[in-house]
Amino acid sequence: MEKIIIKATKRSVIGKQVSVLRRAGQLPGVIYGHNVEPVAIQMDAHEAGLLIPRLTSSSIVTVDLEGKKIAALVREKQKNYIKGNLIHVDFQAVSLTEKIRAWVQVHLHGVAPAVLDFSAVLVHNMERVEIEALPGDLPERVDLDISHLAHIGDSLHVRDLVLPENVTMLSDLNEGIVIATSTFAEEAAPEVAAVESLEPALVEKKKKEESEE
Amino acid sequence: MLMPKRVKWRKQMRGRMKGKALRGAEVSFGDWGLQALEPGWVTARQIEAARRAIVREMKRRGKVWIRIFPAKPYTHRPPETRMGKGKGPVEYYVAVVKPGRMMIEVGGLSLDEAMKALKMAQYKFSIRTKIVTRHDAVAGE
Repeated sequence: MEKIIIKATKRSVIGKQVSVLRRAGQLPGVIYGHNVEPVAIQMDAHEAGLLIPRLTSSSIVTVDLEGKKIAALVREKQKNYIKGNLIHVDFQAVSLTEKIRAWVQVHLHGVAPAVLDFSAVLVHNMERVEIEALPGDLPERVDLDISHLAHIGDSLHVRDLVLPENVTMLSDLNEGIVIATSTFAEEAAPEVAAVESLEPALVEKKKKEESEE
Repeated sequence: MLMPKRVKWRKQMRGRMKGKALRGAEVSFGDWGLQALEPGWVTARQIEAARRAIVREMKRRGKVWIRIFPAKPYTHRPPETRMGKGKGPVEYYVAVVKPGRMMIEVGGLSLDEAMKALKMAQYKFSIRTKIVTRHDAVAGE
């Protein structure tokens, strides 16, 4: 992958005042890490907005902090859910000789026969898995072939992932990543009149009755 | 229609709906979702109507996830009653929705089918919503 450089400057504005920065076209962030003093930073929102959404949580970027180049991972991207733009970014400075833990995206590829033959729906339960590796060995994503999902109820687990060498899996091996489930079957809707007459039971009342007994 | 099975207190205070949804704002189960754009109370009747509209449009394919639950009782004074004499009876239940909340998700459909189904569901809600895909709305990734 190409080397990504993000230009940043130190930030003195903190707290609620950062909204002023955002209005001025700056994106607030922070950079921290092992043996690195945490520094509040700011970037050009437009430039960062073009670069950062493309990055996964295991991509190494270079933060150019006023001339000082720091290798870092994008640890957290805070987003405005409505507008979809970034509001804050956390960078974790990494040492290229120290192993780190990171979350890597699981990418499903192939076609599941269960979907074609039985109109199954794939439920992607786990989008990311936690791994440990040297920053240089971190994969951008982990591919998972879903062509083994032949029947409804078949699932693939963390243990089915093939990791590159020098990478250790930290997530639970028995956790499910994707499952082929049957399609939605409309259950008979209860009668409206009957439901309206029902009242939820009171928890307090129930306890009282139990104590009386 | 959805309603709580057991409640601790029969009636609630109205409360306020400040801020945005901090949780449940991502497409977590399906491929497409319906996201709230403004705060409001969504009634159990609206949720059921939206669910039926989606199921009807899907023609027994795909899967629907309802991400909100009407847990708040809505009370209403009977007409032509004088003030006082206590709070009115519970009429129905509502879900408190804040902007950003993922209300409904669908999966296992083609893009066109999903858009059409969610569009039908949009008409059933009293608040503004937008259709998002799994990767639009994911904040952490």
